[in-house]
Amino acid sequence: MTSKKALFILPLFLLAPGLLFANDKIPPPEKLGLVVLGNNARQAGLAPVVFDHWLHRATFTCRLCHIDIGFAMQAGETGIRASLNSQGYYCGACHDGEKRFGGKTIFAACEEEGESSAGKQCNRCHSQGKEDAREIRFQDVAGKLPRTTGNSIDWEKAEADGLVKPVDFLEGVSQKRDSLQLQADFSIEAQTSWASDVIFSHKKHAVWNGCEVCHPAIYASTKAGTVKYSMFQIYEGESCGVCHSKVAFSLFICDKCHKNKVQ
Amino acid sequence: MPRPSASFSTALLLFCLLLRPLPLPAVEELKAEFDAVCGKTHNALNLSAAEINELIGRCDALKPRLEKLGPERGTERKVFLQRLKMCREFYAFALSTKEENCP
Repeated sequence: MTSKKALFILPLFLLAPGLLFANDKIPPPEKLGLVVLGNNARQAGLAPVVFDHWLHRATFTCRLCHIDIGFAMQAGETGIRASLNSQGYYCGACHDGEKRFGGKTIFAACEEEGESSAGKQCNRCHSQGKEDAREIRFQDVAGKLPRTTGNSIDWEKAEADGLVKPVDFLEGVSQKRDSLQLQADFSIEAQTSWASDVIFSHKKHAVWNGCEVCHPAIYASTKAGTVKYSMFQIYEGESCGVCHSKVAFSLFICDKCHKNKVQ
Repeated sequence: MPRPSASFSTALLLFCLLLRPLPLPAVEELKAEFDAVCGKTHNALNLSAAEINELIGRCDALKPRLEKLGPERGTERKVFLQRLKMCREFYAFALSTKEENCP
């Protein structure tokens, strides 16, 4: 075997096990975007908070929480505390016991005294190991929404069908903005013959994320060909992998991005 | 016990005045400036380079004012500084994008 052939075949051998078990890597839909917030909760003698992205993204845009309210994109960096929630920051920006959504009052985040003062109320979020205390289950939300490969919620279709209308402005928190000027969609050439080119939609991404979530922190340049991303880097959490497979749909649903069928 | 001199008392008074928390209207003024400056990110790529530069300048001017928010407004300071950072970086990105596309 020539060294050129070896160079071509070796990566395939390395890649094959990952591809064979790709389906195992698609998290169960109810676990996609699940974040456990335990640093401060444990110190306060409370169970860690189990935060489900699916519950909140049905209602709010990513931008509203990650830009306007200030939740960091990396675990453990926000520093959420009960005292801050009760002052109207972070979870308390909405969970103040006064704001209303969908005809209901949004329950207040628990007080600093924790479980002893609020009991059941605390368990609604501090629910690790107390799944029975949760009032809204995945099926309650997902049961009404379209699904995609891997049984995940197809948020794009859900919004297109008018089944979800994520709120993008929170009075007293968000600043009034100029209307969003959408940039054109573009294609990214696949570096292989077995996958088609990616059609990237600015519209789908910017409507939920705004501009600052991605630029320049994730994508520092828009000049075509300036930065090349391999799927390996993306699986490691770079580029599209910052959100996809963690919160947004799995990277193993190839045809959601590689839109054109390979001939 | 010796009496402090007038200049020492004046200096102490000035120091205390500088350390005092910003009054509420001043905070509201900062927020209004933040809204005005960072409310244009959605349209930044349609602005001229001069307009973007002006916005970046206003971000830079706002930063030290936000940093002066007292400890009782620590979270507000943290959240708004982070939002300002993202907003400023996006304007810088928009500017470099314009330069890349129209050198």
